[in-house]
Amino acid sequence: MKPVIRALSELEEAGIIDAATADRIRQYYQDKSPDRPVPLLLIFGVIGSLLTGLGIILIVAHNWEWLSPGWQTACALIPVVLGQLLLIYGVRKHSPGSTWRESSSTFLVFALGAGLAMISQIFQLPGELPEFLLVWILLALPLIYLVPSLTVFYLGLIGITWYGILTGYEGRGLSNYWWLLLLWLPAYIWGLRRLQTVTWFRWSHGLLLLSLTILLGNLTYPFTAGTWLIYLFWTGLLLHLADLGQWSILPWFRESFRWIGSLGLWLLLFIFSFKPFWEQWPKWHGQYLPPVSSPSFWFLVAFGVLYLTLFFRRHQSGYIQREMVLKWVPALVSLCLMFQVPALWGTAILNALILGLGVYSILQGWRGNHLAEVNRGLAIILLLICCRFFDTNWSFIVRGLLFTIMGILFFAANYWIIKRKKDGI
Amino acid sequence: MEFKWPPWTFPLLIAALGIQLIVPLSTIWNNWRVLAHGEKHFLACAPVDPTDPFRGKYLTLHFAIEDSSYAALPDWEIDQTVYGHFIHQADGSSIIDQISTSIPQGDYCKVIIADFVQRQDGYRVMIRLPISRWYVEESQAQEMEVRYREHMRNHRPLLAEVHVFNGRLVLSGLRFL
Repeated sequence: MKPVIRALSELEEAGIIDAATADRIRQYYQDKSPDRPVPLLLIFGVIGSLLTGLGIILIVAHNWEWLSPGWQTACALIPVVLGQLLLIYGVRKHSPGSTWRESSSTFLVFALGAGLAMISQIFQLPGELPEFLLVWILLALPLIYLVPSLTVFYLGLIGITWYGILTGYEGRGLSNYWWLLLLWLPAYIWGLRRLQTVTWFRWSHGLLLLSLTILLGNLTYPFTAGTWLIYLFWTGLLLHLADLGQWSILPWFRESFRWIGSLGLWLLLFIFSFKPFWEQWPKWHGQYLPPVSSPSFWFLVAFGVLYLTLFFRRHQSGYIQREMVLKWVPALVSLCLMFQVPALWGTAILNALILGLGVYSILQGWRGNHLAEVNRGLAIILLLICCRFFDTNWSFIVRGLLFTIMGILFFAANYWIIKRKKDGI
Repeated sequence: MEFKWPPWTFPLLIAALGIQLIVPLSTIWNNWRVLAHGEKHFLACAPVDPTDPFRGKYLTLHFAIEDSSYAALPDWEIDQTVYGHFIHQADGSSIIDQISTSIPQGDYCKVIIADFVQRQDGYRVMIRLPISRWYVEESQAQEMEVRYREHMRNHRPLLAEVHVFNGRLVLSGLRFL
């Protein structure tokens, strides 16, 4: 609920506004709010099915040798059939998006996984985890379109990503992940057009970006030092896309880009702040750049060019100083990497950069009275200090002092900002 | 979150649900056929013991024939599927005596080329069988492990019972000799 609405009754009692005005204000916010929250029953229904499904899988993890194979098979398939019957009932009697459809399809997905696992166990079927996941995903994916089920839509993406993580980094070229993703994508595109106002759908964008970021490495096969550059440009690209023109209409679209982009970028920065990284660079995986004939090379070029073009586009919407600073970081770091600066220099520049960004964040927060921003800056510096404990030989006195100083800073900064806010400065 | 969904998706849903049942049932059927009609072979092996998140405890099997090498042609590749020919030996166990890209006479199954080497006497390959796990109940895993260790300490062979039929290989038991 908005704070304004909460304050209404207080204002009404104090006689500052009359009841009619209060109602009009309430009505205004109710009409304006584009969010259609998820019904509580739906959430509990899905959580219930998830738990039941997971419970079945756990029970199945023990195999029941005292039953004959026939009974074991029956035990494996009964939950599947039950889930199917529930689903058919749900689809016949209830509308799309209802608790019935969502929870029965969630139950079916888990029953199916448990059933498949149990059968391969009873009959000693060959095959590894990825192959099992593949069959499970392929059998469950149609539910997204035919039920249609938003929960299976999410479970599907998680499953596909899991499959990708297992198969994408074996060094055997393109993973089947991308084909599975193609089967999933139409649902996402349909959702973008039709389900914009559904709160529950909004998470999918961030999840998709996360999944893509995790599996991006698979496209950069054969792995070279260039893979790091591709990731660096990718995070820069995401940060830029966060405020590319019309997307700013959908605030959650922006948020997803910004979250995943900065998460990836910070992760990279901290990896790059270690000296061993620079000592190995640019000999990572034996060679610096991927061969020109490989797709990896063209991804590098495409991401680099796109990232640079977005810098020089004309209408930069939503100019925020902090975001602009973060967007420059990939360019700066990639220059250091490409010019192959000496290890000592590289480490020094990266550490100074992280420290600078932390201090900058603290100052920005201080100026704007943003508590979260100050704490973010302090957390960055603290994390940096923790990282340096691994590759420096600082004495325990220095380490202890650093932590004490940081602790005092955390306390003092929060105290002062809260005080200033109270005083209304 | 209320919206319309076209009614023609319902028959498709029923079909999808049908496939969900047909896939496991057909595997069971294939499996049963091999057990019913297949020729029995015993393969010498040596297990270890990891855990699979979904399918409970299992012994990872490693077969003695996976340690021997076979004559190969130069155009074969690693991970390629070829056919292995089974023969019974005098001591009751079986081995694969040769591999080929065409289907051989007698009992055979698909095997995967695991390694490829070039020696002075020509090209040789190591193979991997498509079966590698024996699932056991969690309560029995401990007992199995102890039994296996005892068995190996006494230098006695462990045999895996398999059924071979039309190129399919199904694991049906372990035999401590």
